[in-house]
Amino acid sequence: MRIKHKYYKSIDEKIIIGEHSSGLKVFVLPKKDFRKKHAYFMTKYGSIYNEFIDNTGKIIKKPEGIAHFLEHKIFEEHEGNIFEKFALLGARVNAFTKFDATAYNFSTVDNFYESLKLLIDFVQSPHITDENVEKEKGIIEQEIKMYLDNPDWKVYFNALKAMYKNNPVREDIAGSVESINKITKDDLLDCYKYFYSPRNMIVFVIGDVNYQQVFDTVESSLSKEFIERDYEPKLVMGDEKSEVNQKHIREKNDVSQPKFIYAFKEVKKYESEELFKRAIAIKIALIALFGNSSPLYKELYELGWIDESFSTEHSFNEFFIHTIIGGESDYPDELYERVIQEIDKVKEKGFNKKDLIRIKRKFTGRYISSFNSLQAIASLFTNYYIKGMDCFKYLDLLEEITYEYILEVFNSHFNEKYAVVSIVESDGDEIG
Amino acid sequence: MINKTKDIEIQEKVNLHLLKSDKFKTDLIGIYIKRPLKEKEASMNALLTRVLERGMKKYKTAQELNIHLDGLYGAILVSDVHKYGEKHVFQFKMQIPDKRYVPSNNIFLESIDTLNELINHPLIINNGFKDEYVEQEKKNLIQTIRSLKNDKASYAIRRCIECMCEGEPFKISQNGSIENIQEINGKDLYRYYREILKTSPIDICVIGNIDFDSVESVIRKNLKFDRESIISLERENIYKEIHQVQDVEEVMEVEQGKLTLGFRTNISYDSHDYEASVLFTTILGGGANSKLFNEIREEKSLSYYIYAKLEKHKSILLITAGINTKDKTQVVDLIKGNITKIQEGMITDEELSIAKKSIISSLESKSDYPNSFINYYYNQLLGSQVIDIEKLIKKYQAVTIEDIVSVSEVIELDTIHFIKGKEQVTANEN
Repeated sequence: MRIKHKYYKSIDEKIIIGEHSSGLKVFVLPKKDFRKKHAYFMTKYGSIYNEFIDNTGKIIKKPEGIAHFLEHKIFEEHEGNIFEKFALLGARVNAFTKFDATAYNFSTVDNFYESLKLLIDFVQSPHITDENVEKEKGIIEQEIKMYLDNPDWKVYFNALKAMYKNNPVREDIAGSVESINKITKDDLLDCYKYFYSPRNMIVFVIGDVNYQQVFDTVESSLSKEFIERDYEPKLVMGDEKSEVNQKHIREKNDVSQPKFIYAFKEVKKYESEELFKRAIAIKIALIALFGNSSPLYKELYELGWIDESFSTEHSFNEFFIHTIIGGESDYPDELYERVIQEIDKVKEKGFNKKDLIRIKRKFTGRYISSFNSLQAIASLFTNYYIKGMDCFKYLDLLEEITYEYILEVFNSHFNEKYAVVSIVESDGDEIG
Repeated sequence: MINKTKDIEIQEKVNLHLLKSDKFKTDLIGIYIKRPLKEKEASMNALLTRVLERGMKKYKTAQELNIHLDGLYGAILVSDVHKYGEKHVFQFKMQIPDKRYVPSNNIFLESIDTLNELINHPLIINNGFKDEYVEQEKKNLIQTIRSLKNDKASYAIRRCIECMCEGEPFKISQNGSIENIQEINGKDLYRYYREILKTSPIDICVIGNIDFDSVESVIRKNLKFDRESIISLERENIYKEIHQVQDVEEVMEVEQGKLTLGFRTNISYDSHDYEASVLFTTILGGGANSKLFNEIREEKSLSYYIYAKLEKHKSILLITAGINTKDKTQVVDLIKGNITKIQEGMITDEELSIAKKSIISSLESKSDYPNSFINYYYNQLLGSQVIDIEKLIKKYQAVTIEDIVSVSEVIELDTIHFIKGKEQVTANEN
């Protein structure tokens, strides 16, 4: 392993990076005196990778939900039960699939290095058969139905479907009952071969550990077959136009109060560092405009149009960028008009400079505080890494951001023309 | 690692608990005010935590308060109520970045001052809370109660408890009831609030890289309570005679049926068998190594989630799963069958060892999370004594398979609750 050390003074944290000759990168963030240790083995392969190009330029298309299905099947072993093997070491193993990544992780107090070896081993040697693929379909079907009963999930995915026509982010992460029933053993093995390769994966470890021992454990656990796999497939994106797919989307569901999401689609593309900086600027603007210390929040809360569920979120990576404003309200349509009005007002008159300074201070404190929680650090670091960004640049970028920059970014990102409204409400006017 | 702790009674039944650890980037202060769980009080308590956040003498609007918190480097202030068995506890929490990381020397003092404003100096107009705030928060609280049914999985658990604990305080939800909320007004609420501040036991926990003496003196000086005679709270009744298992079905608009089984464990948290009852719960339905997960999900593909949990203070065990409506009888039988297996002693050494390791690991790592740690500490205080984690671990280690079998012999099924879809559910064709 080629080893590099980095130290970040403002938050008093360090990270040690080891790069294996195969291209696999291992990151260790030592946290003294914490009892739990966490490890993540992660691939840059999530639900949006349904269509991709292999090394020879061939385009391959798979059914929706395949990355998530594969995540379930990686846990199949030739012998014994992987959950039990971890549990006998005192470790708890889990996994999750997102739009752009799949991660396998465990946490433990004892037997860390044995558990780490087990993690690296089991992800490298899944046992996928026709029979266990069929059996999994019933379980995943129940998982999909569980989400269908969740109105927050519905209003969110409806917003994505309204915003995008061809971008694969519009599909549910787990796919649909129909699409998962098409998945075969060969599909899964194919995707496994392409995306579970050293160049496409990372290991992240956090806790009171010895980094050298982490590197040695990982290195000695890598199989020859894995090391020699040199695929680094590229995602094929549908031809996504600037225009939104549909302006309004409404769905009936048994909810006590209408749930809404207003989503703003970004139509331009940005390089990773610029993208990161813009995202911070947008988040500052969102808090200034819609946060709980803003005049609009006060006005709407006192009017009874919003409650504490009113919140904002900005998602960004090389494949899609959008902002979401969501919550619950009896007046979701009127509220949308009011939100647009406020955006136009800022475009005309600008922000209050004092607000921006205060919000930057808030973000500084919140960023520092997030380094309390090992899981929070792990997800912060890996989320940004998968996007091609370095989360440790946050405070410097935050510092660099000027009033003019925020205004410029704000003016170009928030465009009513590229906004959609998603509402989930109950049938009729029954009071439940 | 918690380096050291100190407990001091700073006023009558106002106990300060100081917990030092230098590994965190924050300091966290938690103020707990303990009340009995009662029908009318529950609604007032829940409403109070919301009204208090709306306005104080110093920060007359929530906006002013939030601007102040932003300025304290994004300090987080939370006020809410929680059910601990049949006790209803106000929790006021404030988290700030530790002074080592931000250029502010008096950030701790300012956070105590903010908590003091919140609790002791609410905005009062004509001997009552501001009517506008009370009315708005009544509406929001009612909406929160109505919204419980949006999340069908947790709503199902809630409904099972309500059916099971009819006539017992445990039935009362932490936000009270819509009918009781509607009757509240600002004057009565304020009168009630002054009363409970004077008469309730209060605990203050502080965790972080703190200096005990200076924290104690800041709190003694800046956070004082009026005290009168302090109430004592009763222990929950955990026993109930069950003549027949209740079988309740409700119809809702769901894609997936939600099944919940409620049991009485008949084992109190301060009895010798309590640790065995926790291990019983873990072996039966505690995560991916449990009997229920292995059989119902992994072997039979009948559900995605199925788990068991124990309500410590009330000695109630709940098992819940999302399943197809047509599979209800089969899943209920499988759950009962797994309990029978435990009664017959069918627990392997591996199962016991895995369950112990999982519980011990979670105990050992409590100190990694400031908020979980002070809640854990407070939970121990409610059980009248703090047992240190090392001792607790030894108790778990000593539990045998026979102990768990005896637990399985005394637990009793009380209620089966099921939420099913409106239309005929389509067959699951695998």
